[in-house]
Amino acid sequence: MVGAFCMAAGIIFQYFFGLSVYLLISCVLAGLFVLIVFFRWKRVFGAGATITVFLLGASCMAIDMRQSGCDVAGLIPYGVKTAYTFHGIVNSQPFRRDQEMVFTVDVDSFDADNQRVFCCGSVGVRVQTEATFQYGDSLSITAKPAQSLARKSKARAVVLRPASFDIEQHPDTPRGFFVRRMALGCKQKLLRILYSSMAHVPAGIVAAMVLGDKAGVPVTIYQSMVETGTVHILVVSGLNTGIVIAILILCLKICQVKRAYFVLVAGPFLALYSFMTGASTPVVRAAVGAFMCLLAFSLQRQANIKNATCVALLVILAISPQELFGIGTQLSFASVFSIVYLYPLCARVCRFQAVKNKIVLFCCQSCGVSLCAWFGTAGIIAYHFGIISLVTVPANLIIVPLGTLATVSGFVTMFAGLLWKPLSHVFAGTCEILVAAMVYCNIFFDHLPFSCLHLN
Amino acid sequence: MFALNREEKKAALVILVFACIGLCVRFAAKTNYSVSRHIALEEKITQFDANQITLHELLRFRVFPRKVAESYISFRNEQGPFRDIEDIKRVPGIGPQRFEKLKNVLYVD
Repeated sequence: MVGAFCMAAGIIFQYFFGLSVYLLISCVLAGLFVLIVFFRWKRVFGAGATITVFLLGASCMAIDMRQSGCDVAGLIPYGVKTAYTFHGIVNSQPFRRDQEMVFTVDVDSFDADNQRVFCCGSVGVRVQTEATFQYGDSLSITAKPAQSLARKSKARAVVLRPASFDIEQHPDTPRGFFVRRMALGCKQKLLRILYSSMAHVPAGIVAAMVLGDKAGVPVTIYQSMVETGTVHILVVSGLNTGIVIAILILCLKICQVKRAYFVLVAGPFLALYSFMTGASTPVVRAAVGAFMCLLAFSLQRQANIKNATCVALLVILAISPQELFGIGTQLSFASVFSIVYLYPLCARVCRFQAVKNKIVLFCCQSCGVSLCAWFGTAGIIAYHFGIISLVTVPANLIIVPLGTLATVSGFVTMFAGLLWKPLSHVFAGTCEILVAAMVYCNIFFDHLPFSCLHLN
Repeated sequence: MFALNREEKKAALVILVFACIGLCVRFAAKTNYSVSRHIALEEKITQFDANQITLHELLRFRVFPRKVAESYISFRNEQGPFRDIEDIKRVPGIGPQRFEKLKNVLYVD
């Protein structure tokens, strides 16, 4: 836990102070040397380890902020009016938004002045086209780079939003990471099952809850759920990962697989699900946390949710330190930490152990969890979105169970469709009615007076 | 074959309950059109009437900036209600790209 917070502190320090990467790496190496020398001295070792992890976090951030010399964003002049031809492969799952196809392309070269310039990095593409693209497709795009954005790292990024363009697809063997290609292929198949068995809007909402594909969620429903504090239902996170784990464990138990092998079988499925849902921070957090708990379960040890969450934070920050400044990361970890640390205190103060009635106890515990999560995330939501929701606790009390049931029925619908397509229609009705109930409840809470305070 | 343990029985029960509810909902949707409309969350649930939407709602859903939203409201007040979704294109400040975004949020009754 201390390690995770020291690493985060180092990342924040480097973001504001921007020290030289060489200095930081030298300090990290010096810190490691100190740890080796003072290995037996408990206090010195502890202090040294804390400082070394802090410097390691700062170094990771410094390296991440440094734009590579071959990055395409650094090679193309800012505000250029010339068209360039970019060659590369599609590096994300393309989706449609407002009649545009949106995806990123990993660029390996571009043509300028009849010369091919080799480069690295990626460009964002938003283009009006009827053509469909998939992850791993090889493309050549001729367009003027219309926008150059300043990202969190203060480096530039290139976005192509051409009014006129030429895209040439190369029909060679698809490239890219084969696991991710397989996962995205599975995702497309599952999305087709959902959209063919349900009406468009419920299918879009279930797709967001189960597969992390928010393209089909109407903007009015999304915004209204933001204002009632229930939008976390539409984000793939611990709940969904927990359902996947529960289904996996049940299947493994039915197949009489030994407990010690659970983690070996479930681990790859968790990784596949993470890739399928876009490997966003909440998913990675939940997957790493679930993996740690599964490992404890396999080794017949007690799982510690605090340590599991901190390991997940360390993993995410080590891979991408700038995720610390992302809204998704902040909300995801703030809610989990506030529930883990505040809820036991809340349960003690409110004396939940004295409640005998199971239904009342369930309601009290749900309110307690919701209140703790709201308390931990209210400040972040107010800062980023300029709103404070006053109906979060009662709204979550009703919408979270409905959302959980809708998620479970969404999984059942998808797996039934995989077995035999017409079978998905049997379960789709349950999904639709649960989603409709969730949306109507949300509309009710959203229309209450003073349900949400707008700060700006 | 039927030697299910407690967890397997629970899982089987959940699946059967979902299947029964799903079949009942399908039957109700086919026999009653209003049930079908409510379950499918048709556009009147997820969108706004272009002739009823207020300035606050236009800004809340960030459909377009404040100036264009005010221009939309004043255009509607002066020219009267929209008869077709395509009429919205006549509002100053609403180009083809903004109009495509609007079609997901507004409808004309």
